[in-house]
This record gives sequence, structure tokens and C-alpha cells, in this order.
Amino acid sequence: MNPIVIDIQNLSKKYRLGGHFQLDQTLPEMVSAKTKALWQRLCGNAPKVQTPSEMSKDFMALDGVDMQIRQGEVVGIIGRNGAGKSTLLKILSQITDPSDGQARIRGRVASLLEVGTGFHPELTGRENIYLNGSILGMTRKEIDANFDNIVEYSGIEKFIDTPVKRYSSGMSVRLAFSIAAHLEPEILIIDEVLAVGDAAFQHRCIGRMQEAAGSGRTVLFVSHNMAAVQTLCTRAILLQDGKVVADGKPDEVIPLYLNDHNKKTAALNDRSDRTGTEEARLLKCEVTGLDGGDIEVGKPWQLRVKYKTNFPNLRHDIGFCIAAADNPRASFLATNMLKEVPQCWPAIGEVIIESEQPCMLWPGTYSLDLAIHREGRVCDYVRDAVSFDVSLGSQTVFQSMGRRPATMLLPAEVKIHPVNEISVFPSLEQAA
Amino acid sequence: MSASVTTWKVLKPRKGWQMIDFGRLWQFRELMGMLALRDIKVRYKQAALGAAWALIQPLTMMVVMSLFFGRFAQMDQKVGSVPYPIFLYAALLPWTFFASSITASANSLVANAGMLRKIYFPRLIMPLSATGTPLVDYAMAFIILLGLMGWYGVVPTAAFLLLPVLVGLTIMAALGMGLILSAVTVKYRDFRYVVPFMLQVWFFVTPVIYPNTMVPERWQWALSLNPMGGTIEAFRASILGTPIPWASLGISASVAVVSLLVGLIYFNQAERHFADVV
Repeated sequence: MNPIVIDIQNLSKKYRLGGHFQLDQTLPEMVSAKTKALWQRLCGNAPKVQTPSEMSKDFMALDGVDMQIRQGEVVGIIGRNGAGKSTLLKILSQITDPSDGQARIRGRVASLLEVGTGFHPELTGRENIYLNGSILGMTRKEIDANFDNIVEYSGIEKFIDTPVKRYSSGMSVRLAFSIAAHLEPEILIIDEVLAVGDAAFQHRCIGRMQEAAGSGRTVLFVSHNMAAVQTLCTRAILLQDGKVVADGKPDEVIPLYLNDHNKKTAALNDRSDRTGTEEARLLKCEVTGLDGGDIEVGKPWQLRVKYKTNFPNLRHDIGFCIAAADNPRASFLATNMLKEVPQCWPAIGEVIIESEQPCMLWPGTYSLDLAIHREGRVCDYVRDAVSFDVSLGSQTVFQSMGRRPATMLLPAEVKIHPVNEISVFPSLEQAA
Repeated sequence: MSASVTTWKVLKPRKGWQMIDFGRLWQFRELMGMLALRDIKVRYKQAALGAAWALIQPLTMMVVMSLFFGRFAQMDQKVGSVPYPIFLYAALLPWTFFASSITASANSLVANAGMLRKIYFPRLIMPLSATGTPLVDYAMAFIILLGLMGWYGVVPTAAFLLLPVLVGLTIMAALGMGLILSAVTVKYRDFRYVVPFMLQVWFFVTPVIYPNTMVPERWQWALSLNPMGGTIEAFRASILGTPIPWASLGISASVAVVSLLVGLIYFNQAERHFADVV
């Protein structure tokens, strides 16, 4: 068994809510409270127990986390927004101190969360490589040694002496990423990189992760993309309200994160990680085959969404996006793209979207982002609302493919006609 | 790869007083250099006159102030036989360095909040590296001083050798203030407005445009409590070859050393919360 490289014991992080001033206090009240506290401290009888009102101002971002991570593990850290994932990474990368407990780390830590941090727009690409490289912890020697590779990998050779402010955003992300990719840490920390950049960039991030994992590095990966965690990680840790609630194989932990994974049904009403105008609310969603069973390649399927709205009897629209491990925008549908959508939506209802075409997703795990719109505004949006598997069914032909070549299959027919050989080159014939 | 790494890095709450980790600071010296270099490079980018500004600014200040304070306000009659422009400039030079170092280091943490939130490094290198640009400007502006000395026929004496020490004292005084101000600014942005105002007042209580003999004799000791008071007088004296005011230099130097120590200790205490509040 590989040695332990990260050893976390009873790690906690407390944040005080409401900043340094309590909002319900006036200035004189605050001054008198502070003076009283100071007086008590001077007299040596400081109150050890906090009053309930004081405790309610504290927020435990991490609450007694224990974990041991061994060298070479690729660990997915999952959980809802606010579960403490980013706080954990911040402590591990020494940006902030824990309030209690300790973490021990063996080896150099680098983090892809820092892509492009410290880039200065006025400096040239070349100057920024040196600056950003040393910010990320490379020595000048290492940068010198890797300089040509970094430039080549980023594909911006021609613009290396142009100020970065003249770069397109894609170019600067590429440059930043190729610097980060040439770090050689023992422990690589990745926080939601899949949320930024275009598909090609995300593809590279994943490739980079696989490379790092393949060369025996330890990788900590925070993501909401369950499909990516499933594919890339050897282990998953589920955080909830700052505590570890599950730790094990991704196959075992991910279903706990996704409500009721097997039925492909998710209750959405209690989710707090949602955005939108709140004019309407997504309550529940379900992805199944048309017969209510598993989704299989080549078979029709359906999505059922329960909602409620403050604007009954008016037109709404449902939009969703299917994310694959390596492709967060694998497929998309919005009902406003369709011809016949009911104009009158009841206050509480269930929308049933049936795909006309058979499912053309390659077998694997996918997750679905869901939104309800009205008059061009997003009323409610839940990222990663539900995850579902697309199974092989009877289509055993896919098994021979091994690695997935693409996200979508293209439906097509193949025909063959005999061809008179000369008529293939009519222009030649004429010339002759 | 991992076989070479055997030491555990322990991350736990830092409580109470902590030693400043100078070893860690030394490990990050390259980053400190890069950050200073960044500020210097960026300073005059896309400026047609470029680095010439480092000469134009002090030269203009010197001419304008000589004209208004020296000639019109007749200050030149109070400085004895010394030409007023060189009397003024020999103090304006260290003062400008002091003031711009404080401003730069006080702002350094807030200006680099993004890095603070995302990357680990000893926070001390931010205000430290921020003094790089003022130092380069200082060196440039020194050329003007040499020019003035040539113009007025002031011959350097052995006292010139004291200048590096005085530069060191100025850096210490500026850093002491800069460290405290940068740490406070992280929490209370009010200090962004306090710093310029404070420096303006400070300018007038420092004998830059006037000789310290203008201040009533029984209050002159108070001038040297200002860490720049004695230092600037000594700077001027070593340029002009006049007797060096050892007593007030001694007091100012002690104040500068103390302010640096206080600054370091306070910064080191406040450092652990920067990422959470910036």
C-alpha cells in the first residue's frame, strides 16, 4: 500500500458571520460591549462559554473532518455548495488556517484553482510566464527549463512578446493553463476547473488530471460534475455541512450525493444551491426510458419535471443541459426551441418532455442541469439536478469500442450502389 | 519522487505569539524579486516618456518648491550660505522615497487581494516587494542630486559614506509604518484615505522645506521623535558636508528600529486572517 501523504485530523474551520461588526448593534452599544469584554479580560474572568446569540453568529465551514489520503489516489471531493469543499482545499493549500484540528501534508502542493492568478495584463506573455510560474512556486531554473514547452503547449508562440491585455480570453487561459500544467507537484488540487473555459480547455484539464494520476501523483478534485468524478476518481468523499458523511468508491458515494440515484428521480425543492428570480420553482425531476425503465442507447426516453409557479396560466419554458464527464455541454434542449409548447401552465404541474429521437448518448453516466424560464428570464436553475446512466441494453456492439470515442452517436443509414468506374471522374473524361 | 520528501508539513491553528519565519521568507526570495520586478516593469509601460518620469517628477517638484518656498516665501535667507535648491532637494529625495514606500506597501495587500485569496506565500513579501519601485525611483532621482551638487560646486566629503546607512534607516522606518498600515487596510479600507492625508501632515512636521533651526529650540527634540526627522537632517548634512546631528539621528534611528519591530510583530499576528477578511 502506498504511504499516506495527507493526514487530516479533526479539522475545523469557523467563520464569523456578519463581518467584524454586529449589524444589530449601534456604535455606542458596540463600544460598551467591547469595553466590557476588555474589562473582563483584564480582570481575568473572561466568559469561557459563549452566549447562544454569539454562537449563532458562527458558521462551521468544516466541522471535525478526518481523512487519510495515500499517494497516487485520485480523490473526488463532492457535496452541495457550502458543504466545505473549497474551505478544505484552502486549508490544504495553506491559504487560510484551520480553527481547530490539524492537517499534515507530505510533498509539494499545487493547485489548478490558481490558473492565471497574478497575470498582469500590461506584461508580455513571456514576462507573465516567469511571474506566474514563480507565483505558483516554480523556481527560475525550472521555468527556464520548461519555458519552450510551456510556450509550445499553449500554442501562442507568435504572441509571446505581446502584452497579455491584447490576448483573447481564450489565449490567456491557454497560456495560464500551460504554465500550471508544467508544475510538477506531488499533490495536485483541482477546484471546479471544469466550470470555466471552453470544451477544449476542459478536455485538457481532464487529460492533465489523468496524466497526473497515471504518473503516481495524488490528486484532489472538487467538482459538481458527478460524471467526471465517476470517470476520473479512484475514491470519493462526500461532505455535508462541513462533515464527512461518506468515503469510499465513487460508485458507492456518488449515489448518496444524488438523491435516489437508482430511480433517476431527484427531489429539488430542498436544494439550496439554486439561482434565478424565484418566480417559479423546480420541485422534482425524473429521467427514464419511455416505458419508465432504464435509459438505453437507441431507445426513446423522457424527462418529467414537477414545478410550481407564481404566474399560473401563463407560458413557461423548461431548458436542460446534459453533461458528460469530459463534456459539460454534451446536449441541450429548451422547450422554446420546439414548435408546440402549451401556452397555459397550471400553478403546480408536471411537464413531460418526450424525446422524439431514440437516445443517442454513448453508454455512461451523465448529469443534467435544469432550468425553468419565463419571458426570457431564468426563474429557477439547479445545476446537476439529477444524474442518470445510459445503459447498453441489447446494443452489445458498443462493448467492442472500449474507450468512448464521443459523447453523441450520429444516427445514419448506409447504402451501397454499384458505380461505373469512369463516371467517377466526369471532368477527366471531358478533358480527355 | 516521493522518496525524497520525508518531512511532514503541519497545518494547524496558529495561536498566541509566533516567531517570524525568516527561513520561509528566504525560500520565497525569488517570488519577492519577481513581484518587485513586475511593479517596476509595469510602472512606466505605455508611457511615451517612460522611465524619464522618474527624473521629471522630482526635478519639477524641486524647481516649483525652490521658487515658491525658497524665493517667494524667502526661506532661502534662513538656510545660511547653502543654495536653497540643494538644501531642499537633499531632504526631498529621502522624503519622497519614504512617502512612496509607505503608500506602496500600505496598498500592497489590498492591491493583490486575488493572490492573497488563492495562493500561499509568506504575506510579508508583499509589502517588502512593494518598496522595490520606490527604491529604483530613489536611485534615479539621486542622479539629479549629483547634478545639483556639480552645478553648485558642492564637493562630496567623507560623510557621503553615511548615505547607505541613512537609506537603510529610511527603509526601516517606511517598512515599519507600511507593514502596520497594510495589515490594517486589509480589514478597514478607511486607511486608504488616511494614508495620503497622514503623509501630508507628516511632510510638514519633517524638516524638508525648512531648517530645523526654525522650530523653537525647546521643541526640537520632538522633531527627532519623527523617525524621518533626524534621518533627513543627517542626510542633508552628509550631502552638504556640514556637521552631522548625531543626537537627533540617534533618536530617529531608534524610533525607526522600534517601528520596524512593532510593524513586523503586528503584521505577523494579523497575517493569519488576511485570506478570510481581504
